[in-house]
Amino acid sequence: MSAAALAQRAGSPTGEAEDTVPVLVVGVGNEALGDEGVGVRVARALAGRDLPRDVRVLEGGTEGWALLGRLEGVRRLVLVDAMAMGRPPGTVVAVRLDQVRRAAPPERTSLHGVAILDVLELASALGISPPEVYLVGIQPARIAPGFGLSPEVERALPGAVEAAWKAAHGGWEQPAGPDGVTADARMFAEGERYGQAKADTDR
Amino acid sequence: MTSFDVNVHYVTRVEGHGNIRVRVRDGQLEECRWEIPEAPRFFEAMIRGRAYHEAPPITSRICGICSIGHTLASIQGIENAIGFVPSEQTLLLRTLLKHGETVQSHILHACYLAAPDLVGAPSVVPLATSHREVVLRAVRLHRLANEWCDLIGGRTTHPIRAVVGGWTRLPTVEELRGLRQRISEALPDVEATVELFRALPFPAFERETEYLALRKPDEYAWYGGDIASTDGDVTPLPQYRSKVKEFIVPHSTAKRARGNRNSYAVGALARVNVNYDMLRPLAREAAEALGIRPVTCNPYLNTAAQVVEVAHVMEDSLDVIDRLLERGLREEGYAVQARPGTGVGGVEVPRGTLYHEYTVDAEGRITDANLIIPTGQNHQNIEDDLRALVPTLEGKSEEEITLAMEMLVRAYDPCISCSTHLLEVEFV
Repeated sequence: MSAAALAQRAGSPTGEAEDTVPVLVVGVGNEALGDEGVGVRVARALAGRDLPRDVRVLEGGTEGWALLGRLEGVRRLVLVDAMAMGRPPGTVVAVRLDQVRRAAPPERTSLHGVAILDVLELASALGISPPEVYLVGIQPARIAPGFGLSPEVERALPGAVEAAWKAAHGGWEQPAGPDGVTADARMFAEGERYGQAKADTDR
Repeated sequence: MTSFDVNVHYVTRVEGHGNIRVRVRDGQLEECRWEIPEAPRFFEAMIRGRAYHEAPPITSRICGICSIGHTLASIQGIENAIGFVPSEQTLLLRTLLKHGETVQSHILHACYLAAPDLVGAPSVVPLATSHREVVLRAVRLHRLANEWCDLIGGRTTHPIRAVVGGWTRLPTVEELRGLRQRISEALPDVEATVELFRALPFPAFERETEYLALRKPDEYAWYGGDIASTDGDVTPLPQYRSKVKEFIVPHSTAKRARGNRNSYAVGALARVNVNYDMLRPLAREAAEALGIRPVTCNPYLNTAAQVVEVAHVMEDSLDVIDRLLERGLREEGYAVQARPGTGVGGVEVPRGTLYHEYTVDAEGRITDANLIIPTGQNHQNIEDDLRALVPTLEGKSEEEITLAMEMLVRAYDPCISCSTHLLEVEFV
């Protein structure tokens, strides 16, 4: 469905408060940890495009909990982040949230180290989760202190931008596997111990 | 007689890595440690040789929660070093920005991180169904605080408009009026939050200690002031090193500090203890409802004191905005005439008093820097609290003992650094 058609279905966006939009794309991650910042890079690339009025792109950075305050009026949320899926580095996957089986999360909740899937779980429990949530995940090669993406993920960037763009328009869903699951995913929280994350990406 | 070990490897719902290690043999406490195993980050070395105006944006990155506090402490330290006196408008706007951060941080800690302990939930997620309105209120207040910081500072964290010399951009009159209205409309949410915490059972535990906070003669101090102690002494900010005596212990990579005694505490409870007479009416009512009056020595009530402070800064912000609007906003620029010198900045950030000291040379380069972070000042007090707490837990189950100790650490809202947490409790 096109963004314009979506807006029509959702009712005129002009009647809503200025800061609410029906489609919200958020790139999350920490640019100081190598490939962990890929979501932010995707958001930045998208924000440079000529966006329809009903689509907003945010650099979510590492403000996990703050996302809860951004969901009012949002009908479709697209989250872009590094995602450990056990696939070759640079692999891009775009899925609906319900197609993701969450890997056992490490026990961590703090103001800094919040995992974005925890935030989505809380939004869902509160009944404020948007009707449609997409995840665009990019398999990282290197999560370690330092700026800049690995060559594999850098090469994957245009594809990830395209995937996020399509997901924003509701246009790209990957078929689910036989068990209804498309990806076994773990998304990285800011500040997650990179040793742990590295072990995960090496697996 | 009881014998047990508690090894909490990475306390959850705090910022960074901290371990609790306790060994009791035949009822005797043999070991009690609050360990910080993290690598030091060397920010002070990083800014030496830099131009003075670079210090605030760099030191802001020390913390994603207290980035506004670091920015303001850095600006204040630099301005004191180079001999610049900011205007009243600049100071009012800095206070307003600071207040936004206080709401951001306190609401997150009290409602998302501490409240689950008090209602017996493992995290905030189950609260979404059992206490939905509580969480939604937190979401609303947090959103307001984020947009407030964005409006004044230009970003929700790591502000870009507050600089040495003043502001690169001012909010408009309309924006300030709009913010005032939103803060005013949010006061019922604050009152409901006070009511919530009044009804929650805080553990009863007291240990007398020294509390330190900045103090001013005419207001609840957030930005500058003297260092006041609940022991009665007052130290001028430039002499902070004579009061804040730093030391190190082998089992921690974080520096610690002491004042008159073996340890002291900073943070919301310390501030309310020191500045109780300066609380705004709504906050005074909140303090009374939550059972805080000077000197309250129950560290678990630090979370309650944070709620008191949310009430205070919300009410105070209405007054600050009124004063700004009465004066009329003026473009003042931010040009400064720098002279070489040394200066100290002191700001009350969510977790306590933050000190930034700088020496700037004739070329405007920083030649020396010393930063003292609130949590560092609290480490020894946390360990002394744990040592006093253990004997009161005689007869409790291992789970209860562990939870009581973790809750105590969490009550300090410690900001050890940005890191993940894995919980591993071993009872031997």
